[in-house]
Amino acid sequence: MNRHDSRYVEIANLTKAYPNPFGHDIEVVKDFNMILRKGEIVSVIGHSGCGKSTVLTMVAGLNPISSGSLAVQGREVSGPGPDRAVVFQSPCLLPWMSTYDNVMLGVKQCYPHGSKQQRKEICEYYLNLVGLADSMKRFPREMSGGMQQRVGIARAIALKPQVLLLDEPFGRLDSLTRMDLQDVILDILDRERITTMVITHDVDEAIYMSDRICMMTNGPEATVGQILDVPFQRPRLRQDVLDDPHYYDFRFALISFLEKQERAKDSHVAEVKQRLNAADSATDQQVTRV
Amino acid sequence: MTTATQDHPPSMTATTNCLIRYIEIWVPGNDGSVVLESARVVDADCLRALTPQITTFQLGEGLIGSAVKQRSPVIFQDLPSTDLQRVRDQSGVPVTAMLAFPVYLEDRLINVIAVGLVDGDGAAEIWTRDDRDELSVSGSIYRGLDSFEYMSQHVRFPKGAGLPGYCWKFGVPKMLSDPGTNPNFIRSFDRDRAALTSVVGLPISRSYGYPESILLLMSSQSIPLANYAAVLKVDAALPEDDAPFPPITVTSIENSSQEDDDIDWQQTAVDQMAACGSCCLIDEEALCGGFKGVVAIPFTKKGRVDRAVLLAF
Ligand SMILES: Nc1ncnc2c1ncn2[C@@H]1O[C@H](COP(=O)(O)OP(=O)(O)OP(=O)(O)O)[C@@H](O)[C@H]1O
Ligand SMILES: [Mg+2]
Repeated sequence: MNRHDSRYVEIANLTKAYPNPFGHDIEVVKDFNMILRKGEIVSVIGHSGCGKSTVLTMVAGLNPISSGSLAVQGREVSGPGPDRAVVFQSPCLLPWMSTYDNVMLGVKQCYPHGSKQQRKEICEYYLNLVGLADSMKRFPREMSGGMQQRVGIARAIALKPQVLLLDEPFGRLDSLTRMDLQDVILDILDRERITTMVITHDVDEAIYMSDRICMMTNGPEATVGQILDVPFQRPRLRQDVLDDPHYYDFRFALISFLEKQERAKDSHVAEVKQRLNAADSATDQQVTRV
Repeated sequence: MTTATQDHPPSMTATTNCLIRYIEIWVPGNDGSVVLESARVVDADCLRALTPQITTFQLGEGLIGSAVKQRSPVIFQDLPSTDLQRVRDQSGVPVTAMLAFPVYLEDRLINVIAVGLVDGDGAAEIWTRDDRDELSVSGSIYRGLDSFEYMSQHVRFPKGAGLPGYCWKFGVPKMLSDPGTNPNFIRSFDRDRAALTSVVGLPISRSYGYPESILLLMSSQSIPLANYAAVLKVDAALPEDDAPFPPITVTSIENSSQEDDDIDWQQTAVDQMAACGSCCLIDEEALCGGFKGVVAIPFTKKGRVDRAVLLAF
């Protein structure tokens, strides 16, 4: 593994500040550090509102970074680019276009010099991968949420991104469909070795899908709490993972992290507030002294 | 060899009830060697001085020489180990693990501190940076913490995360009480027999911001590592070479193993440390707040002596 592969995505001190109603900048995410190796699947878990989507959209280039830096393959990036594809909880398909055309829309942009036949093959290949070979002519309204999400996944992966960013991609699906789609994605990622960041609320999903799990602390000033290396070999069989005697050590570690964060929420918010107020009054004093 | 422990039965009373039962302080000699300055056994009523046979180690030799060469703490726990045997024989204490760590003032090695641990629940971990700038456990000893031990080998802390990441980011030692409920202690040990009661993180560092490693010492409810531990905020300029420190004022007790702990004898311990210009061992009860003895360890940050860690017995 060369240097760029072992530090394929480099997130350094990523910080996002939003102004609050009183005109103060509140750092919702602060000094988030993580390095992803090429082909790695990293899941991010943390309480609702802690800043997971904020991190993901900054990495996607859809949300300006307040400070810190982001590099893909050793090149610093700012703003969105074809190297990174995003799938959100709802796939945002264009309702007046068929499944096939929804995927083709991206493929046309991504392969402007490809022949019509080549583009057609790409669309069909990826729709086939996600199990939609028979539904290419259907419109979004004619499909279930799970099927629509499959289209969203095919559309993202057909762009041949170097980095795939998934924000709770299965959040709205029932658990059977969810498990189905986890396997669809894992199968594709095992073939294509796309470096992936996936946000999830489901600890079992995090353990089953990822090489690493990044646990985020609560906001404000949310950051990496710890990273767990998941030792189960890929490709994985769900049953093997569940049968591993250490599966419950992992599950327990994730749940107790989340519980502890929850218990500490109020005191954390109070502590940050107090620190910001102290900093505020310090600057006030400086101002009056000047 | 094995009769040595029987010749000097270790005194086991409530007051010796801590995991660290043996202490050595080493100083750098010429040509990379390290020379013994003092060796003490934690006995029931005193820190008993010893005159061991081996008083010099070369760079890389044994536990002490390895700590200097690797610029990192080293833990030996597997018998037969000549270092463990050496200490068991000469002290009569049934140590089952030895831990040594170098202490630097900026880039200057001032001491190696070695401690011998007897059996009992608790843990020590050495965290070092890997190729993606994350800390992982590179050496450890765990007792009564099976699940914690298993998970810890899979845990990585980037700069700023967890206690090791804190010590790295801020370049200071840090003590956390009540790690079970303290949100700054990230890992969980609820599945294990040992209930951790406090954790001390010590950055082993020769230049600010780039620690060679972080040492974590963890006490359990059944037996603490030392009878008293504290991180003190202090402030003084760093002297040149091996001159004594200027007077060092303890500005506050950042954290200690005692509730409502006020600055008292701790200032005396720090005064002694300042006079030595390095780690020091004080064994007069009158100077140690009723403890049998105390080891004071200085830590620097950005050219100043900024913290002192006390371990008392
Ligand atoms: N445009 C914005 N302006 C101000 N605050 C914002 C903005 N967007 C998000 N926030 C705040 O930033 C914090 C993090 O939001 P984010 O959506 O990243 O959380 P999340 O971890 O993805 O939550 P969830 O699990 O519910 O999706 C929240 O407190 C949110 O209120
Ligand atoms: Mg979100």
